[in-house]
Amino acid sequence: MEADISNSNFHSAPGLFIKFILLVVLALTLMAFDYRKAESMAPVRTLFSILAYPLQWSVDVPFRVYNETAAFFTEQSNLTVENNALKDQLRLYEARYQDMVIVEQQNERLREELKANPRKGFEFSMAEILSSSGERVRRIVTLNKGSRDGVYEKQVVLAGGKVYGQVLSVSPFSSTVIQLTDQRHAIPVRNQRTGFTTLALGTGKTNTLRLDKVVIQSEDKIQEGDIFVTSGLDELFPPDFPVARVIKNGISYDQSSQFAQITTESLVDFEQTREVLLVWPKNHPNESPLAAAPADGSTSIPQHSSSTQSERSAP
Amino acid sequence: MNAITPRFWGAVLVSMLLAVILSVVPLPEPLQMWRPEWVALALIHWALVLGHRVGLWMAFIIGLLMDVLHNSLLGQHALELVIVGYLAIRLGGRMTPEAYFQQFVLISAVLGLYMLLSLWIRGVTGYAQEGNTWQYWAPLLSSLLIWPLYQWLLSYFYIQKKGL
Repeated sequence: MEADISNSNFHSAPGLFIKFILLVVLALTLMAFDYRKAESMAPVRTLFSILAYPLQWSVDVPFRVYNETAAFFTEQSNLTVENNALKDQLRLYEARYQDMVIVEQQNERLREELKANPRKGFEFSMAEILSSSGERVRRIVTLNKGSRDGVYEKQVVLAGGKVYGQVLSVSPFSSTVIQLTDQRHAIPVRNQRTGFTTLALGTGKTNTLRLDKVVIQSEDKIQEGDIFVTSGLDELFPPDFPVARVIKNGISYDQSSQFAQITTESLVDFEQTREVLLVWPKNHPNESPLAAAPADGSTSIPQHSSSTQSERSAP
Repeated sequence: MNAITPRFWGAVLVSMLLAVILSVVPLPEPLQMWRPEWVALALIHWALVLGHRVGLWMAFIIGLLMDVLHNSLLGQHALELVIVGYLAIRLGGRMTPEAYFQQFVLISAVLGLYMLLSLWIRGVTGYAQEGNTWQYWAPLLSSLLIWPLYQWLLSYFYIQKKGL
């Protein structure tokens, strides 16, 4: 009984309060530095990202196991059917690709004649989403590729040909990506139909973006169902990639304000996406090692077999 | 009376890391909102069971790990968990582990403070919550509901020698 009392009496642990104050001050200092000068805290963040990587990896294990067992137990006949369908699709795309090559060559020649800047090409690489932020208001995910794979900050991330977001921070094995719908994200967009430009701002809600300060009486500029694509005005996102669509009844007017409220839905379904494409502009200093591989003669790097090599470099 | 020791060396750390994993496991959107505060609950559990033998340093390090996993401000979860740990140790010393009603009051007070703190920090750093505010407090309720079960599961991690 006596042991219990001395245990539960906080006076028996005189160092506790001092330790508590010390740690609170330490945490506040960290927060102040991280808020004011995020780059000064990058080493700490990187260290803990490396420590956290096994945890994220282990969270991902059940999904991977499920996928693999599902693949293992798929019937042979199903696989054959799927394989044939994919082969057909590949043939179709091959034909289209040939057409693209011709158009691209034509484009290059015309640009040359017009003395316009040559169009920049891109290299792509697949990455898998390991985990998403538990913070309700933030829309941030972690990818299984990091600086080791050539990922760099502010890199553009696509999903199925549509804009997904951009890289926020990089550690050796993983990187974090901020989605378009994060409250702090904005992307310059252009109405595909009318050419009207504005900003699409994240709302923190699932698959929802709102357009920035569109003046009333702009029916001719924006209608329901209009698709917005990147305008490329920020020189970060390449132009003409689809971003969002104006939803039904997404345009509302507030009498007290001179701006219309326009709600759009992102074309990427952020809930369903598990794999994304990282984009490198051609001749970028940080270009992915695998994308650069064919240039210096080596054929392929086996451990990066999941990555896709853009075929634009072929012609 | 009862001498309580962790079942194996590092049992506290292992259970805390499991709680961290639980806090980042992807959930479908409707359930996401009701995700209990696993890590804070585990810390309270250990503070009630072990008293001041729970290291505040461990709470701090786990907090930093959470910050990286959740991409919050570096130090935000660390601060919150240190405060939760300290309060639970100080207040927990005054109750017996069997006093469920007292525990509920303690948990709701400590967790409420924990969530209020993170709301303030987000407000200051420009991440104020938009929309339904009651949704923000949903994890408090789910944490309270899951507590008896969670405590029972966590009891695997320590040995209680009765008698003497």
